[in-house]
Amino acid sequence: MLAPNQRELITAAVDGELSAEEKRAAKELLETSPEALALYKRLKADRNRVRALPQAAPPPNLAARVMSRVAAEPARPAQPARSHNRKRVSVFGLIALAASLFIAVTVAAFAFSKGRGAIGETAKVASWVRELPANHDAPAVAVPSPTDTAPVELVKLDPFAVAHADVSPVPRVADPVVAPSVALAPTPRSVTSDFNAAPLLTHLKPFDLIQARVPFLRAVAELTREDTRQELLDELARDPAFRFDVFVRDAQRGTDAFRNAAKAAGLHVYADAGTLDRLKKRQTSTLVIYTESLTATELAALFEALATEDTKFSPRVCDSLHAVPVSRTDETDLKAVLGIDVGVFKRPVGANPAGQGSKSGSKSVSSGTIDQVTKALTTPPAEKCAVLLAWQGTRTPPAMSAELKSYLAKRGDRKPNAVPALIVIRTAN
Amino acid sequence: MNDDDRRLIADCLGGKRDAFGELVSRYQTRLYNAALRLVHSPDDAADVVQDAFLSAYQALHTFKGDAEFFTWLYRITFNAAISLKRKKRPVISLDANSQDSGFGPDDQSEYVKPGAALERSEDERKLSAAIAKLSPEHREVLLMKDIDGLKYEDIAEVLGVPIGTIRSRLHRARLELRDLLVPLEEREEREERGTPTDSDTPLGDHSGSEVFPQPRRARRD
Repeated sequence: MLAPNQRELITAAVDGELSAEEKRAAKELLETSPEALALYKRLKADRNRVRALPQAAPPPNLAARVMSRVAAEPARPAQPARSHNRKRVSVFGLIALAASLFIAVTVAAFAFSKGRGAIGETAKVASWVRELPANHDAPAVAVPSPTDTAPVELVKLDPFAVAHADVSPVPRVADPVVAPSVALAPTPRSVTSDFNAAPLLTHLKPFDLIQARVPFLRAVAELTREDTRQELLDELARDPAFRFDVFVRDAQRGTDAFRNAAKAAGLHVYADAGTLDRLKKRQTSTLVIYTESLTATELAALFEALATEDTKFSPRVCDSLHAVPVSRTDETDLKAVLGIDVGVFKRPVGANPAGQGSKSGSKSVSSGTIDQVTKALTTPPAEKCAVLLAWQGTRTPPAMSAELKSYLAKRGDRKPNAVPALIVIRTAN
Repeated sequence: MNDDDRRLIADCLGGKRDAFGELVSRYQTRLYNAALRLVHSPDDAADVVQDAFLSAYQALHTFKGDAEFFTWLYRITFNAAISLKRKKRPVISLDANSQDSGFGPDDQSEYVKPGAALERSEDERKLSAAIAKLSPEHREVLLMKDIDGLKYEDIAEVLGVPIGTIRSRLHRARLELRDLLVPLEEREEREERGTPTDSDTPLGDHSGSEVFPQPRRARRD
């Protein structure tokens, strides 16, 4: 009676997929065991019978149909065109680029260290040959590339290893019914084994030029500097509305510093009492101040005042200022906080530099009537106001906040050159 | 890879479409039969082969010559067939499912269809019937190995399972097929000797098998 492993050896012998050691064992088994030999012969006869089964004939015009579709293709198998996207990318694009470069350098260093160990005989052996078991029915020579005539040594390894890795990529097949449009990955670049001796990337094409916009991110302490102030002004000229994240070490003291700075900049902040109470009890740590009364210059002055106020704290409470354009998500969140849609992206009526001032001022000038012009010139400028509420966590319902109501009543129409600003005070961890 | 394939591929990459036509003529029958076993429809099999050849043509420059060209084509064809099967997966209502007797074979391949077997010789018919009795997993690897001529590693690559699993499945498939063929052979021998035959013995009855154990039903490796 044959043992299970002996039977498996016999079936593998029928398959013609034995290692050298297994081959010797199988030969010995077949020579010593008539039962094994009989089984081997029967299984091999079965294999031959299966192989001899007739094949179905393909449709007679199949080759012609294939070639007609091939004829519609470019003369040579085409590589996909690389798209040159010169659109602006976010800061994450730059981070991803930096990460990619780091990984590339790491991989190159690893390949170099591996390559040094492989210099010699093994360096000539294709990696897939080392990983896949040998076919003992086939001649013991490896398969060279169509363009490579150098002989390659065949190495036999563990037949139970998983087949994978460095094999020709199998293209993704397009829709079987509709004429396909296959997107192909470019041929992977081979890594030179001897890193030192290789030319210094002379074969590489120049890097593509990517225009990236880096968000404004500066330490609050730098906001008193003229160059930083100018950078902030340049940034504010690019978009109609901004969200400023002020990272502070303590929300309570950071809010105090901001309110002092706002007072110094002539901005009246309607602070929701409930929010201040929760802030005092440390039940909230992220607040928002919304204003649409300040121009870009006034906003820069406000943050300069914040930097000045911050120097009065020891240690300093403000860490950094991050400015990004207001997103649709921010707009939605602001709507939830204020209870109304203030139209952050809405263009103010009469976007005319001469129309700076109050609601009546801008309208009166555009109307062109003498009376209205006179009224506009004599009306005192509107109060610069803002409202302070909780941005995250427990919020005061908009209808319950008297300060919010006061702000909304005072807010009036937006100045034509005002920059709506969501100033979020966050605790830096 | 043989020299002819290498030369034809080089010619094709050099812009000679006729060279690819020769490759198509060379491998279309094997690929068509492999596709037919997977999609069970001559029309679909022809579509699959067309798509596979077109994809191979478009990606020919990525073929590194590290395996047989047929094996590479086979992988593309297999993927195309699986893609088509997924796309055409029938939606069966619960009512229709409840009316299923449960006795019919799930596999609709040519080895299961009685009509196809009638057209073959008696020996081929018996062999096809025995193959049809194999579990789908065993039948799949057996035909990939014996008819398509793939190696363990190629089958493993196509099916996405370890080589050891392929070897194990093939081992069980061969023994199972042998076990299924034993009663038929014994009956033939009795007929040749003139002794009465047990016509009631079904193909899958293993009462006459003395060497191999009862084959187990398919299970996941």
